[in-house]
Amino acid sequence: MRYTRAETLWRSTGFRVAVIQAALLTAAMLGAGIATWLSTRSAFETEIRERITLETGAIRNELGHEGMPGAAAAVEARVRRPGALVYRLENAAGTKVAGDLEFRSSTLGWQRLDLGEQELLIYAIRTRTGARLTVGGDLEEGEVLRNRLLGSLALWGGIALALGLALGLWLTRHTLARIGIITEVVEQTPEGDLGKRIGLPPASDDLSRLAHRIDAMLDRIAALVSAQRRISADVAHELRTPLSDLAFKLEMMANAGDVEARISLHEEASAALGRATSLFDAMLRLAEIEAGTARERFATIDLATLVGDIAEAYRPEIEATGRTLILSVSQGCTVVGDADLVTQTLANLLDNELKFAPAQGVIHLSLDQTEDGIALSVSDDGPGIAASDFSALIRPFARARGCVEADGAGLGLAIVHAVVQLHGGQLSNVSSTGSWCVRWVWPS
Amino acid sequence: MRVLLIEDDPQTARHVTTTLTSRGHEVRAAVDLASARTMFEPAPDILIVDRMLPDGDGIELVAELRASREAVPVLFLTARGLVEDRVAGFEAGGDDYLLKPFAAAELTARAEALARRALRGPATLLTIADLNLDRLARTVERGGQAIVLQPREFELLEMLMLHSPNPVTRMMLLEKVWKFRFDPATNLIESHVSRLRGKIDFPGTTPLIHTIRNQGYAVH
Repeated sequence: MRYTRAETLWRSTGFRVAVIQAALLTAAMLGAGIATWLSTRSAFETEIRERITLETGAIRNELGHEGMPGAAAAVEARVRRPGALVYRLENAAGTKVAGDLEFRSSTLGWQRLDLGEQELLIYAIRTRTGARLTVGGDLEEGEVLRNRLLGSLALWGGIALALGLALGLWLTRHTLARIGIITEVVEQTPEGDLGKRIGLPPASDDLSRLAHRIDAMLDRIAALVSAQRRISADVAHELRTPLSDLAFKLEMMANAGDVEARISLHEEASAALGRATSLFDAMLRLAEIEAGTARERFATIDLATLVGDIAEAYRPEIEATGRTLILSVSQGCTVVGDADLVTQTLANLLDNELKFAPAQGVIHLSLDQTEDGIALSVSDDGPGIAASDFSALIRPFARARGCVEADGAGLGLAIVHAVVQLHGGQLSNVSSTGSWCVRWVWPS
Repeated sequence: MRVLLIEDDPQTARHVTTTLTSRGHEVRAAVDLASARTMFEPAPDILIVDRMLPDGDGIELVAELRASREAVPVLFLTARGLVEDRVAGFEAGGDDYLLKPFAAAELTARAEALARRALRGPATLLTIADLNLDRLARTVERGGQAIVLQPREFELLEMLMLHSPNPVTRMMLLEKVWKFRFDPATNLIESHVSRLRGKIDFPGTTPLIHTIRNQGYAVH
C-alpha cells in the first residue's frame, strides 16, 4: 500500500507522539490560563474591597472628628494621589462636597456599576449627620493585568508548542527513513523474497539493533528454506527409484507366464514398496526428532542395560555374517533421554556395521565414563573415512562412496545426528588408526 | 469373530473387510463415530478404529468405552505414526496400533491375536505337540528334555506359542520381544529365529517352528 507524504508522516509513531505531546501541552496551558484568570480576578476584587472598606472607615473617622470640611479636604487629598480610588462626599442635602465620582448612588452598600469603559465596584454609607460617602474602585485595572499575564502565557506556550512539534518532526524524519527501509524488507519477505536485507550501518540505538536482529533472522530462515527445498527435492528423487522399480515389477507380473515367476516378481514388488514406505517412516522420524517433542518424554535411562540389550539383539546377526561383536560396558552410566531413540540410534549404527564393516571384522560397542562425560562408541577395524566425509555423511540422503540405493535411504546417520543433538550430546568420528569409529558423548 | 470396523476411507474399509472376511470373520463397517455408537449390538469381539474420522478422533470412542468398563480389544489402524500419537492411542485404552500402509497378513495376525487373547485369558502352561513352556517357572522342555534358552529366546518362543497355530509377524516380534518401535534394515529376527530353531527343533524331532512366507513365523 502506498501513502501520501502527509499520510506517511501521520502513520509514524514518532510524529504521533509529538502531536499528542503538543496537544497535552496546549491543554495544560489552557487550564493554567483559565485558572490564573479566575484566581487573579477574584484576588483583585478582594483587594479593592479591602481598600474601599479601609478608605471608607478613614474618611468616616475624619467626618466624626473634623466635621464636613476636614473630611472634604481629606477626600480631595486622596483624589490627587496616583492610582487613587474614586470618591464622592455629599452633604445631607445631597450636594457633592468633594470627590471625583459624578454618579450618585440611590442605594447604600455594595454595588457594581458598568460605565462602558469602566466597571466600578462602589460602597456607599450614610452617617448619622445625613452626609453620604461613596468610595469606588475600577475593576477594569485588574483586567488589564490579567490580559498581560495571559498574553505572555500564550506567547511562551506557543513557543514551547512550536519547539515540541519541530522536535517531533525532526525525530520522525530521522527515524522514518530507517523504518522505511526495514518496512520495505519485511513487507517483501511474505511475498517469498528472502534475499533482501536491511543492512543498516551498525549503531547502538534500538532501531539499528532491531534491524540487525531482523537481518540475522532472515539469514536463518533463508538457510532453513533452502535446506527444506533441497530435502523435498531429495525425497522426490529417492522415491522415484523404488516407485519406478515397483511399476516395472508390476508390468512384468502382468506378462509373466507361470505362477512361480509371478510369486517371485510379487515379492520383488513388495520389497520395492517396502523401501518407499521405510523412506517415509525415516523422514517422519527425522522430522519428529528435529521438532524436539520427545524432550517431554525424557526419563532417566540405565545405559548399561540398554546397550547390553541391543548388543544381544544384534549379536546373532553379526555372528551369522562372520563378524565378531565385542561389548565393553561400564556399569552405573545413567543419562536423561528417550530410551526408544537411543535404542534406534545404536540400531542404526549397528545396521551400518552390518553393511560396511569388513567381512570377518571385529565390531566394538563400548560405554565408558570419561573425563568429557559418558561416551558411547561403535567402531570397527575397517578403513574408515576422512573427518570431512563424516560431516557430509550426517546430512540427510548422504551416502558413502560406492554405496548403492538398495543399502538404504541414506537417513541412518542423519537420524543418529538428530538424536544426539536432541540429547545435547556431541557426535564425532574419532579414531587414531584411521578406522571407523562413531562416538557419542553426553557432556557431564 | 465379529469385527466392528470404523473407517471412513472406502478403499481401506474394503481392503480390511475383504481380508478378514476371507478368513471367515464377520465384519461390520461404520464410516464415522456416530454410526459406530449404534452398532454395538451384537457385541463385537474386536474393534478396528481409524484415528482421523469425519466427526472426530477414534480415540474419543475408545476412551468412552474404557470409561464404561467395556473391555473389547481395540486395534488402531491409522496414518498417524508419530510416537506421541502411538502413546496417546495406548493411553486411551488401545491394545495395538497398526500404521497405514499395512500388509493384509500383518492386519490378520494382529487382529486375531487380540481377539484370541481376550477370549482365552492368560495361560501359564503352553503346550504344542511335545514342546512345553512354563510361563511362571520360565522353563522349556521338549520330549522330556530340558532346553536352556536366553531370556530373549524364551520371550520369542513364548510369543510364538501364545499365538499358535497362527503366524506372528516380524514387526509384532520386534515390538513385543525387543521393544523396537522401528524396523531395522537387517535380518535381526531371522537370525534369532534360526538360533531358536537350533535349540527347539534339534535332530530327531519334527520341526515345530515354521517360516510363513511373506507373513512371519508360526509354531505348530
